[in-house]
Amino acid sequence: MKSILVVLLAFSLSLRAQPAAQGFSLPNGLRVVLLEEHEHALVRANLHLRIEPGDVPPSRQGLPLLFHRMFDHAETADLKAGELDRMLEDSGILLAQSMEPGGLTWRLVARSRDQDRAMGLLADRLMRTLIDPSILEAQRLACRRQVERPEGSPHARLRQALTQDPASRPTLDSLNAIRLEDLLTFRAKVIRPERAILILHGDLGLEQAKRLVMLSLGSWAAQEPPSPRNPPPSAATAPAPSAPADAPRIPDPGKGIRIQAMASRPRDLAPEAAELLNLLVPGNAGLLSVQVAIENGWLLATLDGESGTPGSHLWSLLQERLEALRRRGFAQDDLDRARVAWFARRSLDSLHPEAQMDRALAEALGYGRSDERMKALSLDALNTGLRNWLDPAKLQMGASGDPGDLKTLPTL
Amino acid sequence: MRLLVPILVAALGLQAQVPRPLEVQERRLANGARLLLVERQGLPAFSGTLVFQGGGAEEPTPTVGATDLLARTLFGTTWPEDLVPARNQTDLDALLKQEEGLLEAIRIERLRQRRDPAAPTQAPSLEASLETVQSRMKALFSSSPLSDLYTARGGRQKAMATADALLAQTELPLESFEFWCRTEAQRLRTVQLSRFSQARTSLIADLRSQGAQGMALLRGAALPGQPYGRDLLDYLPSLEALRWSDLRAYARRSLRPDRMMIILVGSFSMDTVLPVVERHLGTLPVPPDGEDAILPEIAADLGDRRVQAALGAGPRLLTGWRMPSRHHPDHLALRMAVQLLAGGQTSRLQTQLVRIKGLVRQAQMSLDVPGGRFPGLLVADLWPSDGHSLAEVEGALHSEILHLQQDPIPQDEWLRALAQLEAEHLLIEDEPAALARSLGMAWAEGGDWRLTDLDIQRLRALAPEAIQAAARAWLIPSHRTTVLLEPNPFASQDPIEAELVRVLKALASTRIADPAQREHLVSEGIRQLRMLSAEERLRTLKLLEAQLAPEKR
Repeated sequence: MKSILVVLLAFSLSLRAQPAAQGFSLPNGLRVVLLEEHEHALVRANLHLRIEPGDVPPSRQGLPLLFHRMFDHAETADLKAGELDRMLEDSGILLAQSMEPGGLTWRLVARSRDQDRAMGLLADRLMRTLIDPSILEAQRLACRRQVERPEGSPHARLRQALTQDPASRPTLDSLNAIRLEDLLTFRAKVIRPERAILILHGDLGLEQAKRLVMLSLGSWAAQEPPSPRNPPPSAATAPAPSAPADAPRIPDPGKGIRIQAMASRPRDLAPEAAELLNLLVPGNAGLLSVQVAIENGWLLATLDGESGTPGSHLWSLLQERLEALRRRGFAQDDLDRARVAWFARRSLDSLHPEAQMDRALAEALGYGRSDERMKALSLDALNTGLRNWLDPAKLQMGASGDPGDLKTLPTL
Repeated sequence: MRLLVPILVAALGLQAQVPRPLEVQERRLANGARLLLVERQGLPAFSGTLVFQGGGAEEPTPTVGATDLLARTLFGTTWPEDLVPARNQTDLDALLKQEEGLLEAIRIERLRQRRDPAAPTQAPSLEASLETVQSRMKALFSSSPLSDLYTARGGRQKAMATADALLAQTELPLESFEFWCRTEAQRLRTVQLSRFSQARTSLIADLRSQGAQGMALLRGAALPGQPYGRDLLDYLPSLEALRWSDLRAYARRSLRPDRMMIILVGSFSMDTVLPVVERHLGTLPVPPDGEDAILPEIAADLGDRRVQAALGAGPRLLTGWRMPSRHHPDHLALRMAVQLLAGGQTSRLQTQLVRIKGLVRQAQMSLDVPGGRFPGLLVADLWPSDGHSLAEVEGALHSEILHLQQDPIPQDEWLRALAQLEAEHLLIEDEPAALARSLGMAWAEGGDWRLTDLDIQRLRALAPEAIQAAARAWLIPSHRTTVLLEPNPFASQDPIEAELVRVLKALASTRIADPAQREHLVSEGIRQLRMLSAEERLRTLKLLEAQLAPEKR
């Protein structure tokens, strides 16, 4: 009996350290993953709603951005402006909405004693938020301003311009074309329990989590889209993706020139190969002065020059260095070392609750990393992935710097 | 025995519900270094932090920027050539010395050329020699990112330079704990800094690219003659003159074991950790006593100061009040004042200035700018909405300060602010690296790591009247510095404004001959037009354009 107790204790301790994912679903289709962890009296919840390419009608680029702003600034049911915030802050609850690649996310953190209230308020936000036509123009103006005159440094603006997929980059015309019924249709398509995954982390057990989610989100049902008065234009009239001539050039008077190239992760790249490339590419000596970072599925290469350096020279130098790495690829020894480092790094997630939740979400969305696939990854697959990612035809390039220097860039 | 099972289950259940107080164990190593341990049982990884007291504020003038450089070049990465004495180590040392000599010779040559551009120059030959030396050095450097010793073991590291401390944080799998102790000890013994010149170049490039900053203007005007008031951008020439050997000497003087705190969070016990830490970090030599930096005293009531500048992308109002250091009894009350004024969506500035009056689109307040060890600043940072002037925003801010000083603080508002601070504290405790940072900064700024926990307990015991008394004592005009930032109309990114500048210049050129007068007129015109909404500005632009000759439109 004593030994059984010891095993029980050890098991409970290991559960605390590495919370195992426990999943369940509600009858309305909401999928829930619980990571139970009782170290502190805190509960975290991340609710992710997937946005699919078909959710945005042609020529309505910017619809998710405008919807995100409308939803974030809208009132919740019969609560007056600011009342929801007051109820959240009375209990020290943090609730933030963000638009991330592939979807909308709500991140909630509350003391465990406030978990019922916190989840109830999250549910109110999701189910009872009113899209208010009276703020549409103000929010459209804010989006337009973001497109016309994005704030932040020229470097940040260059990066923002490059990370927007040309096909989904909002334009003034596309933002002006969005009507209230587009927003309501978008809401009906996206804010649905079967589109959502809820990741819970922290000081609550499985039965407690089931009760909590059922009480707060069990009555969540999708809203019907409004009947369209004027159907949006068909796909045939959609503008073609921007041509390379759209390469952004951000003026930064008196400053040295910066050339950047961005490439989004190829859709067919295995997540395991992407993870290893993340360890092998940034800081690679073959890139010399080109700085490479991989963030949120984007590979970002940067080359800075002094003011007066010919932009055309830097432009071609950046392309040459990336092409040289693409052709050279990696050796078996690189793959082996990266694999060892990757397996060791997984334990670091135990130090970051948000990282554990992101990992659980990735697994629930079907792009999690598997130990078996990582072990089986071949050198050929790794180098093919690198070649696809750095394919010159898919690189989006741009520059910031003194307007005089920008003029020296080649015409694309 | 049957009784044991329900007891065990009950104990586990209770453990799940009751928040535990922060348990930190402290030891002093033989060489004076402090060790803090926070046990988190069962974690397969650990967080290890080194905190060195004395950051940018304690740098002597010739080494300004050294803390930032050490964060980048000593603790930013962990290359084997910086740690492991190898066959070619002598070569690397010799090359680093040669590089230092050539960099200095080139700097002097450039200064000479600036004074006498016509004189013959040796710069090209020196630069060629430097290139040769640097390419030989690069051949000795690791070529793969996985050569970084921590990255290869699955680890992550980052370093942060603040005004009061240098923090180096590492996360590694648990089995690498002794390796971490050995590596950090070796790093501090060797202080190799092999990539010194790259780190210095990149720091200078970053400073130049970010340009003049509003916050630096505020610090300079509010804390004149104080290290807290320094702007690194003003010290570029001395940063360019700082040599590899200077930085090494500075590191040996300032990164002393007796000014170091080691903070471990992980699945350890003190019994297992202490011998390992003693063996490696506890044997670091203690240099002879250096002189403690003596910072000039600054009076809080220097008078109401105002600075106006054309800078940045949009109008911005920065107001700083000189405030006491973290040791002072009023410090906590001011922390609560900041929470009431700007801590969250329901705070006073958010509610009144952003939501109800629509005067500003963004309102932030921060405490201990740039540090808390010495008297620093409490800063309000406000970004006016379109159509509202800086003067309006300034008036509204002062009105909120007066409300705080004079009107009783409602109970519900008080409790809300307290709940937010408590939740923030719990979040910090929940993440090992954040907890280590908080403990380290409490020690570096306030002299005691216990402040992390004590502050929150003392906040609970604080009375609203104490906040008002502190606000009346510190948030007053004689402690205040105001920086009014207007965007430079001639470098505007706003297409309407750029067009307005063009049209106004064209109109002015037909009427005013003096270019300085013309420029002043255009600047003033743009400043006035910023008070209008975007649509009104567009209409004004069309009216002005209509006054231009057709070929100039």
